[in-house]
Amino acid sequence: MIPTGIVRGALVGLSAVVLALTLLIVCIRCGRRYRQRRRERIAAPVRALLLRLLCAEEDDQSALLHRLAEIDKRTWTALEPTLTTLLGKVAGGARTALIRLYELRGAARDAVAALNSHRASRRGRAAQVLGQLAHRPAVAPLCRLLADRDPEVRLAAARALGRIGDPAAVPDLLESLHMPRSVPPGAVIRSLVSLGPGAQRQVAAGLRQEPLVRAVAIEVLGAIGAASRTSEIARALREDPETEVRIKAARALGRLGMPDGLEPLLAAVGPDRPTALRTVSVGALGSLGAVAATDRLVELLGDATPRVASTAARALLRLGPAGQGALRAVADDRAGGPASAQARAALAEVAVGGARHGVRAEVAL
Amino acid sequence: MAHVLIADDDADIRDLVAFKLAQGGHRVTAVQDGMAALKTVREQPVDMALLDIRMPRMSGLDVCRELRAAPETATLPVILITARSQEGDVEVGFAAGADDYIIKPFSPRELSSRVTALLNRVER
Amino acid sequence: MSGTGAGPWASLEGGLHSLITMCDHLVIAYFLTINTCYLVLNLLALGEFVKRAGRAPFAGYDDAAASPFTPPVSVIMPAHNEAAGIVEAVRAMLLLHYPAFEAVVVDDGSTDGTLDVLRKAFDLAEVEYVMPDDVRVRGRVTSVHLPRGGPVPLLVARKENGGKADALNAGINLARYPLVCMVDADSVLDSQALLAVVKPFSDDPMRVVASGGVIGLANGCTVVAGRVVEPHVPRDTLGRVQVVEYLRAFFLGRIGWSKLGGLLIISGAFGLFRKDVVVAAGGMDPDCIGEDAELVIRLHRHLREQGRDYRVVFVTEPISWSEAPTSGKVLARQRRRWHRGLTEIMLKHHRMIGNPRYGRIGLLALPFYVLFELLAPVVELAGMVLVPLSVLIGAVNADYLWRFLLAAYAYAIVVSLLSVAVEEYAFHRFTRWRDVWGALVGVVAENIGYRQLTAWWRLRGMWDALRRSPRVWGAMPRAGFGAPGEGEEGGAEEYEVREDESGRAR
Repeated sequence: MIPTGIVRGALVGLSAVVLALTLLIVCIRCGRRYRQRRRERIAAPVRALLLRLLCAEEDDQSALLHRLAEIDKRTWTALEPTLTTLLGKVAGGARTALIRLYELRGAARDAVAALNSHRASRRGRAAQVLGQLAHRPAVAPLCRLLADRDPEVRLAAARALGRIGDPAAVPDLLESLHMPRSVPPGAVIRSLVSLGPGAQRQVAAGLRQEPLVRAVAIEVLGAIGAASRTSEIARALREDPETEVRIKAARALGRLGMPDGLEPLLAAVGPDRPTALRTVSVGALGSLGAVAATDRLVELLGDATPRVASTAARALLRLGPAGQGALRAVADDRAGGPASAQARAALAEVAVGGARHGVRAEVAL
Repeated sequence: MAHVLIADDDADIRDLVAFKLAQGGHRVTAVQDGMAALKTVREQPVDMALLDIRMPRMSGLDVCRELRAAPETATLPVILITARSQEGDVEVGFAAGADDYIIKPFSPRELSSRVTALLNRVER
Repeated sequence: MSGTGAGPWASLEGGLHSLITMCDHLVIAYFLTINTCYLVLNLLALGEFVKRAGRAPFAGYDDAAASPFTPPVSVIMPAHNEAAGIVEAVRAMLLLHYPAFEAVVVDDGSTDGTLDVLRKAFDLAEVEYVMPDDVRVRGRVTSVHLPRGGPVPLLVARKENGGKADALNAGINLARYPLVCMVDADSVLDSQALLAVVKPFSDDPMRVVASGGVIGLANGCTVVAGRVVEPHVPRDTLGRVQVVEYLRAFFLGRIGWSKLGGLLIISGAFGLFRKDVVVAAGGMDPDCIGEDAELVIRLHRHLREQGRDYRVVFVTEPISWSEAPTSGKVLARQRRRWHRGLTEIMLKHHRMIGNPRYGRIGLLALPFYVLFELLAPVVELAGMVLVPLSVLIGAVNADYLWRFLLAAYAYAIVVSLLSVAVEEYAFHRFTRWRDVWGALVGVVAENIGYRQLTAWWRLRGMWDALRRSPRVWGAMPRAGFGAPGEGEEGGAEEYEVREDESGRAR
């Protein structure tokens, strides 16, 4: 059974591929170890220097800084991953020292230049570094990167803008939500929230834009505690045509905890509203802590939708003694049917020790 | 002088912590995962353990619970290192038996003083 | 060869010959196609890893871990007669590194005191509870328990026995958070598992509806405190073969499908779903054996019919580990059940197959599954019978035999080797040379004996489904994970036979 012609060729070819793959596996292993050792060997002497810099008192830093700033390009490249990691993980004097080292080295400028690199991984890393350095001059090029062709680079740019903390980036961040190459809302929200209350005015401008932008703006205003925007958010809860935006508005009103939120929330729990909106609004009434909502919440204990009823029970718990008293009254009413069962369930949970602590009942995606 | 164990999968942080504590006159054993941390504690007398919560596979929380479960290490002072302020982490960590917290990003000086403070508290 | 001699007998023989020859060529073409498909899927996965290289520094995991906007998750763990390992599993689950989650354990009518060990370990108290009715549940929930004092986000429910899918449905009703994560009671989770699997949701909350993660084989691995601390390739051949099989088909294959937008299976051992979408689709189907795969296909169906823009993604980080059967008997039952499940699902959703209305799912993924998963055992066994028969009656020559061996086996070995190389490039989970050697042995052994045996078991599974024979849940003797120090030997001894639907480590 000796194979002929083409078949023999194929057999030889396949054996060669098998051998090559086996060798490749071995080579990948060895190559990785070699590269790692090489990097460690090059970086080792300066690493010790770097650790001394990070642990030094302020007065002793400058001599070490200058020595580190003068290392050659190859050593810097080997050391850079360490620097980037540490930048995100140290604070105080150590961080200041690292930032100065980047300055002396001109590395922030290099990173800004790398934002235009044709390799996505370089652009992303540069954005990450600039964010960690909180390098303000990079805001404009990072805003441009929000429309990068690579989705992960766009995410990195959004994160970096959040870290840098310049409210000037807000319009671009909001706009990036609905560009053809968009940034996912989760990333934009995180970024906007980390800009803090200083960006409130710019974020509020988003309340008059497209549905997704409105939803994000409302979520952010709620999270940064922009109490002065309560009336605008309340209007969104009453009037916005999009259910999703109204859900966000209900949640934000609960978080803000202002009395003006009570009326629109009470209106939003009406039986003709979408279930998701009702559930979130009921939860928000609990967060709001308005004792005035007690009677309405007690009514909702008997709601036809179990999710709404159980959220109402938990909201009552959060109203403190008044809410708990009301729950007890309903629970004791043995003829109360489903409503008193809900009340008893909520009270039983508290009696056990508030086990399912901090359940954020009003969360929705 | 105390023998301090630091477990972190990130070599840079590990070295930084080890360097700072050694500067403060402590003997430091640095390991890169939870498994090695448990092994070290079982084999050598350790006065304190610094554990990073976010380690692959076995987290700092897992190690902490294991330490608390064994009688000979039940009272070992443990400091957990966690990313930014994380209420959830803090709560779960105290439930797992941690004594203190260090939040990343941290300054090496703060870390050193937290370690000293906990060691003093335990001695008394 | 045909047509020589005279009379009807000779022409019949000639016809038979040419029929057999044609079948033989079809068999070769089939094997060439199936192996090429897997090659392409593996290369797609490789492409994904190459793209990822150098991106870890800006992946943003720390941000997700610290953000108050990371969506909270309800982890649902159905348990049926799991008293031996449940406490350890729940403890490990409660220590997952994640900002906000709750654990919901559903005891599906266990008879071995599963609830009692939990009650003792977590100081549970029974509480009154009003069951929400998001999805229909068959077995009634008889009691709900919460831990006393302390901030332990755990809920244990006891219900009448109704099967795993039914227990999951009860868990979905009890879950309070917008994301539900379904895990097996015998899954060994990585501490970072939830963070990894939720990341697609927090990055793209409007579109992602489900995400699954890599399931590794826990056989041979060192397990301490409910975590796999050192992955290894097991030392027995059956284990080695399964490691390679998982790598090629369930890991790289699914990454490839995820890239193509046609991911059909998210393992029941660890999968995350948007609760509202699962509820809208009606929850798990208790009448289906492969309820995990069935759910994903139904989600596709449901969402496509609504015309929604959605994504089902596969996370490449290795996050969960399951134990694979260590004996042929158990493996046989497992494969028979899997294939029965697959057959039932394809029958149930046959309208979707080849239907352009369902996009890539209908036109690409489902036809692939029918042709190369469902029918694979038929062709495999047909080849095994036909080829020797043809040689015997002289319908084909030695050259053909060589071509067959090359297309069916040598090519498959190349594809499997490529998978091992891709793993080595992207994850290098196995640190010892011995593990690499073990994987190479597995690559070869898979093609000699293992493939043929599984084909037989799978064929029987298919037969079961077509005949609608009564269901027998496979019993899986589960090897215990050793205590620290003897972890290496974990998997050597069997300690209990449990009657349930375990071993579904797909």
